[in-house]
Amino acid sequence: MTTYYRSEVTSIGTDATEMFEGGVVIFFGEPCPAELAEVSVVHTVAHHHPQRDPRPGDVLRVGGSEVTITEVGEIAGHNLRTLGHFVVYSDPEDSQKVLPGAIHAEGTLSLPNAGVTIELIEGS
Amino acid sequence: MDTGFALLLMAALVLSVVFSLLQQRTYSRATKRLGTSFLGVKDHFLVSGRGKSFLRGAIVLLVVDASTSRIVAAEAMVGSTVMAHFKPRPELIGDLDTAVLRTKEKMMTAAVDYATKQYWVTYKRNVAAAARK
Repeated sequence: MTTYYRSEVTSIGTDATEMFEGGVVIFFGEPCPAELAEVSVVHTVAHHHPQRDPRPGDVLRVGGSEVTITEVGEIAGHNLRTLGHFVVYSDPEDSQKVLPGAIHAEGTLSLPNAGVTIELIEGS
Repeated sequence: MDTGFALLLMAALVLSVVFSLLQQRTYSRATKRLGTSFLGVKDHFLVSGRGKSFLRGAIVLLVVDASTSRIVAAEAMVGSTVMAHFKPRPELIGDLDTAVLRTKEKMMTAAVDYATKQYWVTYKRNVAAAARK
């Protein structure tokens, strides 16, 4: 399995904890405006395969926890490449349609600490 | 005034302020979550509206595609407690102008009506601003 995206968490917003508890995680690459950093996991990109966007079946690993991607919004890949931005909805309700910049995933991420690695890994 | 009653009134006021602040934070987080989920998508507007009854209330968040005047995402927080959260409302997806007809509760109707009006005001402002350029 190949890691096509790797970055490091630099900060976790004060409101991101409650977002985590609600099953939603907003990721933003640096630099990130302060009002969005409040609700986001901010990270700095170390490696990104330029032609590989997230797909269903891929794995998102954040520190010791990981989820399997089930659906990808139409501009999530573009936002990831340009802004390091994507929004993960864990185990969304059936009625929840995937939003353009969002990624739906199966499983639950745990709240990371600064310094933890974020990886996107090709599905098997 | 009875001291006990005054203390009770004060406690109720403090609680009311705390509840308002908590609901405001929930609203703020939801708008950021929904807004960032549409980041980079052109001609889409995020608007909100509120409907209230004596004990309960509803707040809706609508994302409208200006090129089609259709609601493409809708969430609502309905209830009377601080535990209320925004949840998807798929029944509101579709034509903006008929969205109020797809609501079942009075406060939801009021909230969607308010959000629809807010959308048109925002849209007209944007058109006017674009015309000035």
